[in-house]
Amino acid sequence: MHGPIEIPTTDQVTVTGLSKPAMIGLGVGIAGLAATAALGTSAGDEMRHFGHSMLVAIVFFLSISLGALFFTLLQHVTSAGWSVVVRRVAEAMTAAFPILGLLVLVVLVGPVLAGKPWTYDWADHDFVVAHELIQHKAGYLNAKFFLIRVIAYFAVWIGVARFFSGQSLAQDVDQDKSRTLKMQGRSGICMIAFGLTLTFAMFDFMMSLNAEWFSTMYGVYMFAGAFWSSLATLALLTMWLEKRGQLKGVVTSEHYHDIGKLMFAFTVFWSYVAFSQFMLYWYADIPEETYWFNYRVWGDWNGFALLLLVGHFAIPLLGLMSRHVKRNRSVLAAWAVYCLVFHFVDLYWNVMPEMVNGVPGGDPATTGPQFSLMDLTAMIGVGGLFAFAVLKRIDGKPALAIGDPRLPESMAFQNI
Amino acid sequence: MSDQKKNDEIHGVVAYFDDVDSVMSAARKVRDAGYKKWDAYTPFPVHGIDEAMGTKPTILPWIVLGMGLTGMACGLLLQWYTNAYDYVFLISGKPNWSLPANIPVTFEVVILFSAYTAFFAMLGLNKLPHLSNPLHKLPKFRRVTADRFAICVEAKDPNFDADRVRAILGADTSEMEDCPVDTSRAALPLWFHAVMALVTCATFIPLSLAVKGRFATSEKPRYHVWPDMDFQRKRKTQTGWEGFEDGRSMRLPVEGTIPRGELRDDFELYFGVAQGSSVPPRATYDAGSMGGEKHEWLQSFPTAVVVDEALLERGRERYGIYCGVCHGAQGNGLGAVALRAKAIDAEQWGWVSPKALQSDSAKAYTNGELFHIASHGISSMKGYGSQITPKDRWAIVAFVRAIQASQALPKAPADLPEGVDFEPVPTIKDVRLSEASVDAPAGGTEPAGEAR
Repeated sequence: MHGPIEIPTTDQVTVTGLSKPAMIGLGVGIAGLAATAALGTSAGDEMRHFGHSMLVAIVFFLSISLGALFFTLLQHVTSAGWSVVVRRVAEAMTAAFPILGLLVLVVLVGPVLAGKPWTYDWADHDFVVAHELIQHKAGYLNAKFFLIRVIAYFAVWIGVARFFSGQSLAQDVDQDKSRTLKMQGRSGICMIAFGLTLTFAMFDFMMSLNAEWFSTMYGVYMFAGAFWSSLATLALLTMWLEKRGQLKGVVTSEHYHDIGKLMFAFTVFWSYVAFSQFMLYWYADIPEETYWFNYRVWGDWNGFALLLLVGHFAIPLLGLMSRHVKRNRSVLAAWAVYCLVFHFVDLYWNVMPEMVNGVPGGDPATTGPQFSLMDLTAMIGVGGLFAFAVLKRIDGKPALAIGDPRLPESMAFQNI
Repeated sequence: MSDQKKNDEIHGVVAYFDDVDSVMSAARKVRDAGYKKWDAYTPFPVHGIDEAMGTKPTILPWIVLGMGLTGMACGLLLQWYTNAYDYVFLISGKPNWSLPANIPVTFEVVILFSAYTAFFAMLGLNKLPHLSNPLHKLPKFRRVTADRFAICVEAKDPNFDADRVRAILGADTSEMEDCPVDTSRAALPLWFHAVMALVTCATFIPLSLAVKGRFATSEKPRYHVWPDMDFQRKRKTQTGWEGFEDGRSMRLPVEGTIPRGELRDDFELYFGVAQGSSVPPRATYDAGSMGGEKHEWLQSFPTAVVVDEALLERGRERYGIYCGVCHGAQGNGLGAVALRAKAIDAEQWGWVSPKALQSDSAKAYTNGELFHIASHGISSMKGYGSQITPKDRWAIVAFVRAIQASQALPKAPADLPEGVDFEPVPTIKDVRLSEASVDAPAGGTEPAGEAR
């Protein structure tokens, strides 16, 4: 246990043979999206279900990438040693930004530019004419500015992600310690940029579904879910690479224990933020604030709200509490899958009630969930593309930040 | 026999080690030899020493979990007892016993109980505070706080055999010694017990005073801890003082002067009457003393006020802020406060329902009278002169005239059957039936009073 640390060689940790799985991911992704588009056009609801299902899927995988970007920045900003062995995996998870950005432009921004309310009611001129409140928000919520903002968000995310993974990969070769200092030095300002872009992106992508409603906490709420699901993905991906042999003997149950601790902490944080947002509105009882919750908590979506309370909070709170759960790979893997499922439930509950809201005669309080095969195919489609981008990034490169000066510290890491 | 005697004289055998590996190795050997009363001493936390010493996982987490759940129950019980049982008090129209409002306090009590339990149970499980240890008397032992490691197997262990212990520890140690029993240890002096007993009794004094204050009555005035704060050398507003000739503590404005911004030379604008006529008293509107020919009330608007769309818009906004809660956004007398008052039958306590502003009696007032009512109130309505500027009050008057002109209450239908009363003023029932048409909140929430 206290023997000398043996740093693996570059060959030992370099990942090979992922080009085929990546291409399968690409194929599955394109097939899934094609199926979703076919189902969407034949649904005869002017692409409403398509737009909303795609939004759930895009935000689901976008939040995983954003959470991974946050994880990378967090390790640098706190100068953390324990996490070096898993940081490369998190860096790889940020490789999906370009492809997700493309999807956002085509599926979310495109219809808005064309004035079609596939996803966003405020894209429809007639809708805005009928809603005075949204007219006052037109200075912000208009197609051109929306496009500019989306480009800005993805420019920041892609830029930050490329800088940190690029420096880290370059360090594998030249072992230059000054790169670590450089990354730490820039991580603070990048963290601020991350906070601002994530908050406004979630306002734009998610909160503007119901453009009359507002919550200043919404960005934090989305962030909590994003980091939670991202940690789950990080644990799963690390286990997979460990099983393939690249991280064998490097990542230990001590590291999973720490990832598990963060998952547990963010179970509570998500609940804390979600409840804070709910309680302030419930207590003040102001109609313009409560109506978003009115059909989500008291209408036909009531079952979903209770499911979140139990499944997104109570069960993982008790389930992830034990030290033994966090240190056991297969048990933690099961909880990671569980977290991803409930992150989907959370997003579904956030997005789907708005599908009928804004449509003439549509009332989310009495309509309730309308499941469709599209919900599934959209997840498969975007997930396939996400897998393609991430696997492509991992392939042919070390799965471990082999040149990081704190690697021995990380490998020797033990929880007290 | 001699060994047994020797065991009684020593506290234990101490072995010193120069590095982590040797202390770990020795710890494993002592563990495997089956000793229970022994410990390892290190200058910093050593990873894996728990396992090397065979320490069982602590039960502390279970104690904390149990006390956390106890805290949850206590927090909920506290709120149920105080809010829903012992002192029922309506807050924001919420149910007296409502979970969402209770969660923050419950959460905090869970944290409080868990944190205290974690701290004190940790001390308890470690048998701390441990004020004296014979090892502290050994000069060499002091280095374990800096650069040395030590293991001490105590003589209290049932399997203790000094020679065997020395043999086990000897393989890894750099130095070994016997720790003698601390004979200097004596009972605490009597005065210490006496002082502690006194201090313990003294801690009950504040509690007993609080209990006395809760149940006893007294005719003596309260004791002033800071008399110079309670009795300051100053006069308060609206009180008397013999220091001035007129017996007032406040000064009146100098005769012939007007405070800045208080010039009321435009009678139309400030009083709602014709310029130069008699100024109505600053009092609640009273038809007997103010109506009819008593004052030259303005029929139209003051010359200083231009009635245009901007004024009406301003009036609509001010009306919504100040008047709508009682009179209703449409002036039908069914604002949120009025609905609530009806729901709890407030008339039994002297509540007077707000007037429907489209009623004929409301229409009959002159503009000047409406202005006076807005400024100084009528019947149980208080005046709003202090909150709303004169121009804004005129804007409200204009808006009231506008809603009177735009709406009319339904007339009794011609074919109304005999013996059926027609109520021109909508009742709460009518409002509930046609919620969409009245100023009910969006989203169709019920009036707060009805929800309970």
